[in-house]
Amino acid sequence: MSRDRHALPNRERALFTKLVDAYETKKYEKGIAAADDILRNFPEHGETLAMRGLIVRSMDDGHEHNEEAHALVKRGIECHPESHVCWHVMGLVWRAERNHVESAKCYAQALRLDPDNSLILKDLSVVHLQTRNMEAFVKLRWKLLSSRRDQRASYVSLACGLHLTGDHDSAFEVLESYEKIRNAKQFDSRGAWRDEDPLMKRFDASELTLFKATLRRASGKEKEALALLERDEAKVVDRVAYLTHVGEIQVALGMKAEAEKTYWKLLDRLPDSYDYHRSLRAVKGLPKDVRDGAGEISDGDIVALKALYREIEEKITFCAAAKRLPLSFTKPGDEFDALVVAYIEKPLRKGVPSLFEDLKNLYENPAKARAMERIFTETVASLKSSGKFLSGGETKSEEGKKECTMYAVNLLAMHHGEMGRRSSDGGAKDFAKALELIEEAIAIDASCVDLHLNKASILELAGDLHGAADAAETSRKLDLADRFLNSNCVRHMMRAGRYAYAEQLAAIFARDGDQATNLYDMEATWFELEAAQCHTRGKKYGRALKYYHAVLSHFQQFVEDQFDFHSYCLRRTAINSYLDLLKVEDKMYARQEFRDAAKGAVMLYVDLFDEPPEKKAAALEAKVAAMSAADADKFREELRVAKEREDKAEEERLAALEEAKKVAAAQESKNKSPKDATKKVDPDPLGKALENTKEPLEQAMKFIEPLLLHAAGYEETQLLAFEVFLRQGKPILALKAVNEALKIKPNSFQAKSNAARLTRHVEMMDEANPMKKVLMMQVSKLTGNQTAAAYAKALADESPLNPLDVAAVSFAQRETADDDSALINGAKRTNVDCSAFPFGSYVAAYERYASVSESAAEAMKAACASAFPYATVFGGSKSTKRDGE
Amino acid sequence: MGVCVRAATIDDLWAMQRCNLMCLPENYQMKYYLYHALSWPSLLQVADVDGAVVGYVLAKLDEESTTEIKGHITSLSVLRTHRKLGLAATLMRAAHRALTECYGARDVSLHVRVSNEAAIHLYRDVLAYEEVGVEEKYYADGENAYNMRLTFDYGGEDATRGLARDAAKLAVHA
Ligand SMILES: CC(C)(COP(=O)(O)OP(=O)(O)OC[C@H]1O[C@@H](n2cnc3c(N)ncnc32)[C@H](O)[C@@H]1OP(=O)(O)O)[C@@H](O)C(=O)NCCC(=O)NCCS
Repeated sequence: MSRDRHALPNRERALFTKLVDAYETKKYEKGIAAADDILRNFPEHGETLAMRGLIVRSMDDGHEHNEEAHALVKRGIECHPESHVCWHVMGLVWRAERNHVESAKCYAQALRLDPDNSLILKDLSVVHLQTRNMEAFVKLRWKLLSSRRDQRASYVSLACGLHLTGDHDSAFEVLESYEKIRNAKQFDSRGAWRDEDPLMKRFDASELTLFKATLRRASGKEKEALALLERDEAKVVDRVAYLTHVGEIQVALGMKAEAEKTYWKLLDRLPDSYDYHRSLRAVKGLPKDVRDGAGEISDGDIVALKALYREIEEKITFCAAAKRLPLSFTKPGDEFDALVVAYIEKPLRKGVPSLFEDLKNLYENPAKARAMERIFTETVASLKSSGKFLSGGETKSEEGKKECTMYAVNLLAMHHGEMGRRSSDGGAKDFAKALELIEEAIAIDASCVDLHLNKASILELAGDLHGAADAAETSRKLDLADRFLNSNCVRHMMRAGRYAYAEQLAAIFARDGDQATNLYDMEATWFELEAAQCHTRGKKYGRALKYYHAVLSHFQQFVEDQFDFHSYCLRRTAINSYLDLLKVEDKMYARQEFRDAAKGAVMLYVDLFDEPPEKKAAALEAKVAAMSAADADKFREELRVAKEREDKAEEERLAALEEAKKVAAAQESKNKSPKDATKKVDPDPLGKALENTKEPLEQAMKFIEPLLLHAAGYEETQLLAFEVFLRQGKPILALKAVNEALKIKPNSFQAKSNAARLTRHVEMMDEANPMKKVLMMQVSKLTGNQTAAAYAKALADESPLNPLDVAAVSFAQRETADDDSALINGAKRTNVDCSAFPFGSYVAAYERYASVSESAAEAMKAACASAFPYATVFGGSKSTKRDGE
Repeated sequence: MGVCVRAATIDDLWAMQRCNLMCLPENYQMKYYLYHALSWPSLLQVADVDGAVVGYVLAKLDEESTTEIKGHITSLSVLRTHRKLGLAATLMRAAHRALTECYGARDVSLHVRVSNEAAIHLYRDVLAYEEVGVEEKYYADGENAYNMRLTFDYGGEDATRGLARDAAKLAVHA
């Protein structure tokens, strides 16, 4: 084909330039008009077709015209396959879909057609960063450097790439050669160096020096790094970063005296940064960790620590740690008592309700906990009787006495709450005491917001979800403008299963024009996780899954978010944080929030696989069929009433949200111009499609895959992966998950239970299946040649203590899916020892049983109710009841 | 131990976002936090208890000012369970120190709801900010904001360097 076929006459050539301009300046309508104008006479002009496709894609927020865009670009390529523009555009269209792999292929093709096109080179190099194809990135960057020697970004980018491939020395040389060329004023004649912001010049130079030090240190050249930092000290404006490097190097090189000075300087800047406290102690030969429970500290060290912290208190202004840390390293005894007496007086006078939070980790030491109990109790008594603190300090007035007493009683209440949480028998006695005390404080001044907040947290520790929600609601009403009180109340309401009200409350601070809430847009994962768990407990699986998928999409966004920062950081030279960013991004799906969402979603999908909605409906039908006609009618009527009640609640919920929206919209139009971007209506607000999916395990894999990518080292990941692989009939992968879990935690009851389940699966495989023998050999390594039943029984005989382990072992003992007896036995075996296992693991075990067997759940309740009398989930006798429950 | 106040890392941004969502009606997407951290890495500070973030300050340089370097506090909050322990003041002091030392900022400004007594007390009485104006209907719900500012006092030192001060301290610990 001759080139001429693609050449445009002047008029159209001008139009094409306009088209490209319009795209770059986001004037999409104009771009389309220009494209159409060209296409009228040249319907097969490839580059125009491609550009038109790109614009169609760019205009398309909702991805509705994705196919049209692809078709146009593809058509463009067909018409003009040797055009680098067409291929480049195809890469951009894939990019818009976040399909970086396809995008890279297209850019590479474009480069084959136009090897020196720096625009494409840059786009491709960014994709390489996004996909961590560092070798390819470095190669491209060498090439870009040779053509762009007057841009600092060329050097910095290459150095970053080299550093990330582990070649720290070459990276260092590249930066050195940059500085040489820069100082020699080469290229200055061509309009000076590009991409340097005059205001930020100093900062950029500073970052470069720090980067160079990082490079030296990465290749083990600590001495050179130090020399470099000291030589270029004046260039570094980020003193904290500078001193942190210097301190670490001095420690590594054993330069104790110098390091000590460095850490003093750091403390002067960040007086309460515990890392620097730790390092300072370490260089002085004192214990790094002075937390209670971290190990014995010798008497000599305590003396030295005391002296050190006296010195810190004198020399460093505004250092809270100087007063607080002595409470940690001083042994229980008279001196500790005196410190506590002195420490609590000021905050009690000032009315600091969070004082307890500040003291909380002293409770790791039981002797200190006992001492504090005594001191707090005596303080309360003394304030009540004489209005004096234990120091002898007087309260000024009757009012002051009352107030100080109130805060002291509050402190003692929180103390008992903590003792309840830490007690081995469920803590009912301490919780009772804590609640009595917090009521006493509230009786002094019921308008004190924080007392109600603390009451809610005590009730939550005790497991009384409704009581906690009610107390949180009281606190919220006392200060409607404080969003924290609102958020906290939302959280408590959801834990108590009161979703509709929680949702209305959340909307108060999250209204946004015509949207009910902006919580999704603002990536409020905390809310979504709570909501998902709330709906799971309420058996509204569709909605729960919707929220879990919302969390997934936020995390996908977080991974995508880095895309624009690659070139931004390399241009602006915030290199050191940029390198951190890459590390953080590479572990994104290992973050707690994602792991929680994945766990919730996978367990739901697995349960939906085991018992799909149709099967549930059929079971219900069978139940009704077995009834007498009269009973069946009565039962149907009950179901009808329940459904009606639910529908009505749902209607009310939607009406309330609608109302809230109107109010918000009215307010919005008063204050701001209305937003033009109208949000699309969610076609499936209840998540019915997710709940009724025909492919629950494929859906579950959407969560498992990212977990395996970033969080393979967590036992939980392997346990979840096992659940899915076993059901998918992929025993080899399931086996791998068991082995990985055992590598992470060799004595894991849960992993061993999975080994039993896998063995049962293999035992039931068809003899003719050639895999059976191979697998049998593998699993028998795990079970020591026992049958699944024998191995599971042996596990049970080992008497696991953790309620979750007991549950896992019971699940492993189940012969068939309808077999409740093993589960019921397991639930009955639950023993309560809260000093070893937190209350939450009892609740989690209960939920595990409840998801498959009502009778097992009842047995678990019975096993726990007396130890946890406040606990709502176990129907405890002291838990707050609500109407209709 | 008590509460640690330190320079934030990229890893902290998600917890900062969460803390912000719990405490304030003005919220931002992660990209905006990333933008702060990757543009002015030394200006973000967090308070943490055993690794859990309970408070933060998100500060930046004023991008509209092209001739002078000025700081701006985008957001500050502390979980109510940890308020009145002095954390906000410590966080703000750390941000001020970074603004002066890294950038030689001339001043720092912020907006605060006219009804927010706790915050106003902190800025005006503890940190010596001045009220320089009122912005009508600054907040989405129609509330006005005070515009407050603190002009940094370099006491004759070279603004961009804390070196002289360091030297003095060094002498103390020598
Ligand atoms: C404003 C806020 C950040 C203060 O945090 P904090 O850690 O409790 O503050 P500090 O403990 O450092 O207190 C600093 C000073 O303010 C005072 N203060 C704090 N809360 C107060 C309150 N509710 N009422 C009166 N004074 C208060 C303290 O007593 C202290 O003053 P002092 O040294 O004279 O005793 C916190 O209340 C908050 O997060 N509020 C919600 C979010 C918000 O409003 N952010 C500010 C947006 S501009």
